[in-house]
Amino acid sequence: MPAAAQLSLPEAVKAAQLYKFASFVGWPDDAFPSPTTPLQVCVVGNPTVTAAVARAAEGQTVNGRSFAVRDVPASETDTCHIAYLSGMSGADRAEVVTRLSGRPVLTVTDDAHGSSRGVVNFRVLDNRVRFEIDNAAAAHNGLTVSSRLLALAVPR
Amino acid sequence: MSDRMSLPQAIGWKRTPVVAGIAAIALLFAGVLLAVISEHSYQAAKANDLAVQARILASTVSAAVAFDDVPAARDNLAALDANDAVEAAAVYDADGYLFASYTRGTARLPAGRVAVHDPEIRGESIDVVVPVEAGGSGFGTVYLSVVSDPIERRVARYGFFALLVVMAALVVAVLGIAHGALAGVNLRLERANQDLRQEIAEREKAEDALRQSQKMEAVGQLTGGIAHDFNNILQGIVGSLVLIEKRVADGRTTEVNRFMTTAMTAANRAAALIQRLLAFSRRQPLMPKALNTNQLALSMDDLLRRTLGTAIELRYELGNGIWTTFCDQNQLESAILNLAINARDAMPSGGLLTIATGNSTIDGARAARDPSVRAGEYVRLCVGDNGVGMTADVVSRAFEPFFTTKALGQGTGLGLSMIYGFAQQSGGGARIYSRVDGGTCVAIYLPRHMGAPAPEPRAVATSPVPVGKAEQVLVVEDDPIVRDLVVDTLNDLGYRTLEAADGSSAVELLRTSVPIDLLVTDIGLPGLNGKQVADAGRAQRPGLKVLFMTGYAETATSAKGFLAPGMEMMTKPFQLDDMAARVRKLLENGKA
Repeated sequence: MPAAAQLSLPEAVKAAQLYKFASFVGWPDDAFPSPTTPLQVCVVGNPTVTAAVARAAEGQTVNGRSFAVRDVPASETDTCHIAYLSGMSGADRAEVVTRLSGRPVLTVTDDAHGSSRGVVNFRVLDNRVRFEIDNAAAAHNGLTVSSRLLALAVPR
Repeated sequence: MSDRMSLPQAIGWKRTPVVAGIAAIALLFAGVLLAVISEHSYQAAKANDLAVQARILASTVSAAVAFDDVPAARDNLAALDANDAVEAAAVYDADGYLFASYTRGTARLPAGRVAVHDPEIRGESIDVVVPVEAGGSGFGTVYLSVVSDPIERRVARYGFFALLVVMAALVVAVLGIAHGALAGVNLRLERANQDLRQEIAEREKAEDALRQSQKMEAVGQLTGGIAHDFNNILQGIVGSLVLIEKRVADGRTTEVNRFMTTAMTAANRAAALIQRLLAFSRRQPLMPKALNTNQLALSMDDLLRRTLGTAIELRYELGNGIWTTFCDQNQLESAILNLAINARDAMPSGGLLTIATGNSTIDGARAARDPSVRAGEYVRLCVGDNGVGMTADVVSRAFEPFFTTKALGQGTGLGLSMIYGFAQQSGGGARIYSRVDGGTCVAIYLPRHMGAPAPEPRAVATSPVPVGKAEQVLVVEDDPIVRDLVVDTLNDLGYRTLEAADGSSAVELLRTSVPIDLLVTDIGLPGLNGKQVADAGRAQRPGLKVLFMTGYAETATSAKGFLAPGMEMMTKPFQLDDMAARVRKLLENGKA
């Protein structure tokens, strides 16, 4: 692993937590071709983060599905279940979030504001990694978010 | 209770305490079993509750563990504070490190790592460890420990129940024991009752035997006494007859009359003895009349003095204004004489004999104290002596028939009994007052007579014996001596006679045309009795005169019922003069 691959602590924490959202979020049945189809976790534009997420999710399952972690371009996020727009910002990010709105994709963003915020938006508060959840957006995407997870979310 | 109380029933009574004991033990056992089952299911429910609670907690903290949110986890655990039963709770992450914890009071968390396990009881607490899962993924574990009920609360929970069971068992046991005790008492009572019955039966047997022997003794006493008296009488009669025979053979007739008088006197005594026996048996018809006891006592003075002898002084204490009484004079004389003789025998070396009379009114209270004389007005006649007296035991038995203190053959034991019977029959009573060495007084109570006073005794004019006028008389008598005597007498008086020894031959004679003016018949005959003979005779010859003879006073009494006009009854022994008068009277009445 190159030296540039070193992640900041918040980045590492986010990478470690990403796959765990799958345990507290429900996707519609037609989001998966078969019951054993791996859950697609896509990281956009940050291969270092992708590798960290892949390590964290390795060997993990959710409801019997394994995780398939890929580094994808923003245009190929349509078939993802979780799309972490880690390396994106600004209008591009907003464009992707808007495009994925209404599709069964859990969009995850970092410190986004306004319309560029994903369903889950990581925040770092008091040196701790927290997240906001847009439950309305989740519902719009056909996702159900566990109340346990909502309870942990910080208010937007 | 029947004397056939079955033995199985008795055994059943015996078994009751055992059955009650078993029932009580079974009750206790059932109570304990019920408590154990209840406690077991309670613990199971408790454990189940704990597991559910732990799973809820695990679910609640799952996101906090997954996203490493310790404050959120602590908040979740702190919510347990509302549940008093929770002692400790802890959340461990997937690597087994303590993530968050909660403890109450002095409770402590288990040291080191904990493994997932079902609820386990440790002392007074139950704990459980469940995995923290979400979406099928494990994020850690949750440990939860709650207090099991302390022993006091468990005791309190089952104490009332246990008390009830114990009380019920006690009641059953006490009832059983009481019933058993009662049964035991019943059994003992039953046995005692059986023993008593047996004893009574044995005593009755013994009493029967005693009565029989007493009866035999009494009969012996009576027989001995009567034999003694009759021997004396027969001695007088036979001796006189022998002397008369000698004098007649020698041609010396001067002293014959004297011996004849002696023999007659002896025979009269025999008749009197028979009267006494009849009086004893109370079958003698009394001939009561109004009389004055003072006069009667004084009239006996000569007789009494001769009987008592010179060693005994005779004193009279006769009450003034004595009431008239109503009784049989002969019986009263006989009673006085008897008492005088008893008094004489009680004073072998002489003494004082007192005859006292007086009026006596016995009120209800006194009659209640001593029921021998009923309440009423009486003339009391008391014959007292200052002789040896009697013990209380002898006094109490003195009126008993056949009871005598005299030697065998010296007395019949009937004297006092006879007096008692006479007094009772006369409507009065008799009492004895006596004390050892203090003399004896026998009091006879005779009822006061409210009718005319006793007439003055009159000299009876002796009328000549009426003679017959050659009338034909049929004499029916089975005893040849009596028959000959009657026939000879009638012939001497100038009657013609026919004889029959039994009823059938008499009836045959009555059916012939032989003239018969009078039928003289004994009542007690072999075959047809005198009554039947008379009936047959009257059927043949209406208006036939009949003179019955009987030796049984009882027959004489009852026969009065069947005596038709022209019939009369004569009691044996009878004076021949009396018979002559009656025969004449019957024959004359028919003509009138």
